[in-house]
Amino acid sequence: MSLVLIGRFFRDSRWLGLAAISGIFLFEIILAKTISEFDTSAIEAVLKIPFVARAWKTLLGSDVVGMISGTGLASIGAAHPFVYLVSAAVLLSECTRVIVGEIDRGSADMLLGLPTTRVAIYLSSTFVWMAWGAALCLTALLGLRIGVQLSPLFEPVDFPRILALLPNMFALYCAIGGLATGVSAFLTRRGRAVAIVLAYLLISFAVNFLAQIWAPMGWLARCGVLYYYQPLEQVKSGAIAWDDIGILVAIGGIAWIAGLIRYTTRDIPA
Amino acid sequence: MLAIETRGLTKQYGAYRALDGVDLRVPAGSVFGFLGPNGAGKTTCIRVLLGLLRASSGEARVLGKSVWNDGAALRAEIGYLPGDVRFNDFWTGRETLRFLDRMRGGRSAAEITRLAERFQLPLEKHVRSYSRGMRQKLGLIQALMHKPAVLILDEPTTALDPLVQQTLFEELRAVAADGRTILFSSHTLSEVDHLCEYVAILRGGKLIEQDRIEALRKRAVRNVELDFFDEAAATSLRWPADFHPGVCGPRSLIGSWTASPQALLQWLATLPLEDVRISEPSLEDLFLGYYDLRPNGKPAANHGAAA
Repeated sequence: MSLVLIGRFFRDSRWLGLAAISGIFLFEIILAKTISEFDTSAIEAVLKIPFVARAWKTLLGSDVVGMISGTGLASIGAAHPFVYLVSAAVLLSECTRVIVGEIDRGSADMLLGLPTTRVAIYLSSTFVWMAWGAALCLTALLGLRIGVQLSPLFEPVDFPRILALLPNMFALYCAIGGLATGVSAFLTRRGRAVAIVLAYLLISFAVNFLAQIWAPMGWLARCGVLYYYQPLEQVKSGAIAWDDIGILVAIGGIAWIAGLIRYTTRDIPA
Repeated sequence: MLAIETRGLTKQYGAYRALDGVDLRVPAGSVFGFLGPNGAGKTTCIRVLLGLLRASSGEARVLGKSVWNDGAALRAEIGYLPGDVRFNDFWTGRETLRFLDRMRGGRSAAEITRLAERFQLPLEKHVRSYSRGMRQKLGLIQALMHKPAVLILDEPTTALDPLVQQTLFEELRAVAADGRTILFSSHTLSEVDHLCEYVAILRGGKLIEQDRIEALRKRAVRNVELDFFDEAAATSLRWPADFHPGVCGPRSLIGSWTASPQALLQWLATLPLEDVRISEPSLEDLFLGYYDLRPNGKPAANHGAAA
């Protein structure tokens, strides 16, 4: 790794990263405020209707009947599509910015003409997107914590239980980041790399969604990374999902290593 | 000692061979012109030397080090200007150079200031506001600023006005006087003629010639202009196979001579000439000779009637 490169990559990504952190932080505060105003008895009554309960399960990926607790509702802040969307945007941007973006822009010659190795560039780029991923994960939970403090819910939130989501959430970021970095190393067009990973995530999201209402899709859902991040289930059980974390790290790790091998041996087109 | 050496360097893209067994030998401390039209393989060869492309076969060494295995250490000693230089548009010129300097150890601040003044480049402006010529100047400054042992410049005068070209040539002469090596790729023959002592000519991925320009001139065709006493002598002239007639006038004939000077003098002595002018070919003549007169890198069949 190179500190100079890391400094440069952080600098190039700082506005997007800071905007995403601010956005997620504000979102979590607004979410906490919204949840604090829920009429929980009314929600519980509505959830007793089977169709509504099923619709919620489909949307949130977990059975929410009996989960109308402060901690359960607060955990939505770690799995809301807005958080996914913003985080995925940052990750896709950062993972593709250097590895394929420099080639696409035609500035790779300058970078690779410097006295550094491709391994150092790859590692420095990875360090930066991982750091942004960690910052986004922490921001989501920190925003939730502060939001709940500003707008207390109807019952105390068990924050250690929500904090236990952090490893799984970060593993999901690493899986997406590893995939995006790996795909980038094989391509010469940044837009194509973003499109491929985005399509995979959307399919993963859709299949995960469909698997809730149609059991035969269950096996296919296992091919998507989102299957291995079920925060509501985790909050319910209170245990860290080590198996899911292991699978996510393996998916990201394999793609990342394949990308590293490709990037260090490939031709850089003019 | 050789600053750059390739042996049997080949780069294959599927069925297309961009470089075909190139044996380039650039002496240390020389200014070496790298000639060839677009698509001849100059940029491919340079990109292999920088480790941007991996050779399909063969070997490339710069300053005795393998360009692929010792790439990072080697690039500290190379100043490189790509053919199409691009930078981060959102940085200023100074930020760009500061970053590149830090990557190379951070010892070039004074040289950056000197070169920016020399090339009259406003470093506080963002790169996105630079013209094509200003970007080229920024590229030149970053290639020169760390005083590299080897400078590899891919068409460096592109987009530069004639005044800046002169400034560049002065800087390059200073680099050469310092005993450093310059590989100067171009298809502008006059600037190579003006600056370089050695030249290599690439065609279709093959190196068809490399030597001192003077040696090439001595070996090459000579331009011969013949003025006869009368039209009859001119029209009845029969020439040897080594003479290639070009322009004909009523009493004159201009052509090129591809054999030894002695043979030329022997032939001229037999002619009823009023005047004769023999000149060394320009680099352009040499270059065109390699492309027009020597298909496949070999002397072509002579078209003149046998004497």
